[in-house]
Amino acid sequence: MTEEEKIQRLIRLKRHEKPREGYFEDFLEEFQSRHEQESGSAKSGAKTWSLAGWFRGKGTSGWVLGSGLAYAALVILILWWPKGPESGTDQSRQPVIYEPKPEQGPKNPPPEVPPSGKEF
Amino acid sequence: MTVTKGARSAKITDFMPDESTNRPAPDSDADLVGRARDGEMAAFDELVVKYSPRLYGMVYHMTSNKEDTHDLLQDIFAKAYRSLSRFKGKSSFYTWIYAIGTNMTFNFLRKRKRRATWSLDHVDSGIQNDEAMVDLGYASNPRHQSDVNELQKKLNEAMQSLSEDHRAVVTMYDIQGIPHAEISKILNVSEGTVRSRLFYAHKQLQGHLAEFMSS
Repeated sequence: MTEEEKIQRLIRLKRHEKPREGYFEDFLEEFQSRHEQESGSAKSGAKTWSLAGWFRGKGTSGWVLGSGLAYAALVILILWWPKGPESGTDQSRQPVIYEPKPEQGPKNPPPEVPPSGKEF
Repeated sequence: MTVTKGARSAKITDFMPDESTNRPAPDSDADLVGRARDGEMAAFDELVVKYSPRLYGMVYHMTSNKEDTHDLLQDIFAKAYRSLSRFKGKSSFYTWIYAIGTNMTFNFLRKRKRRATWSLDHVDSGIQNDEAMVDLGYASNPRHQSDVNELQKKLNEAMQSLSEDHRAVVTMYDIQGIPHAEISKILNVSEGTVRSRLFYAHKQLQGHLAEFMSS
């Protein structure tokens, strides 16, 4: 028997390392229970889960599409984000729009100039 | 390999593939996958029953830790269920889920901070059940039992001394009897790479297990 065959024979002994009797029945029960729990919690966020599942199903293109949508949402958010707490409500902060006042009689009318132009 | 059948394990043994023989027929897997995709959870449960023993073996021999194996195996099947829509049928379901399990195990090992621990107390069925061991009376001889336990410990330590890549090919080929071609599909490497990794791994293991090779 070659050295290679000897070492393979030794390693093959590990085939007999098995879990306890009944382990795989318990394993299946735990898996089923876990799936039920995850399904139950997923119902409350069903829309989010479905969306995530949809993106996952798309593979790489899903990542590209998702990134694009996220970027677009961010840009929209930045553009529509209010400038500060004062914006929109405080009239004193609103830009001043010049409106000429309606003409009134002057308070200090200029001295009348005689039509003849004679000096005093 | 003798499998003890009992009332609880009857269903498991109906689907449990023999370690040394081929995997289950692909047609039945395709049917189960199709039904599972349609929402029939019982169909996926049958796939779990079919492949959990073999996947358990792969993960356990990679991690040498039963607790980690259990947690990881749950995660593997959960991920496989979530990813069913992405199974295109280009390979068998067995190869597909085995690849998922291998990749997740690799990721787990890389993230694991602590050194892999092997618990002798949790070994329920050890190598003393090997035919050669039984013939020699190892199973009933307490004096030899300690030798067997020592050998088991050394085997796990030797396996853990290998890199993940080398440990994977030894697990799949030497322990689980998976052919080179199948291993190359699972690991997405060439058959030549599989063979060279095996050769190197065997050389490494010879160094660790020299004292047992003459016995």
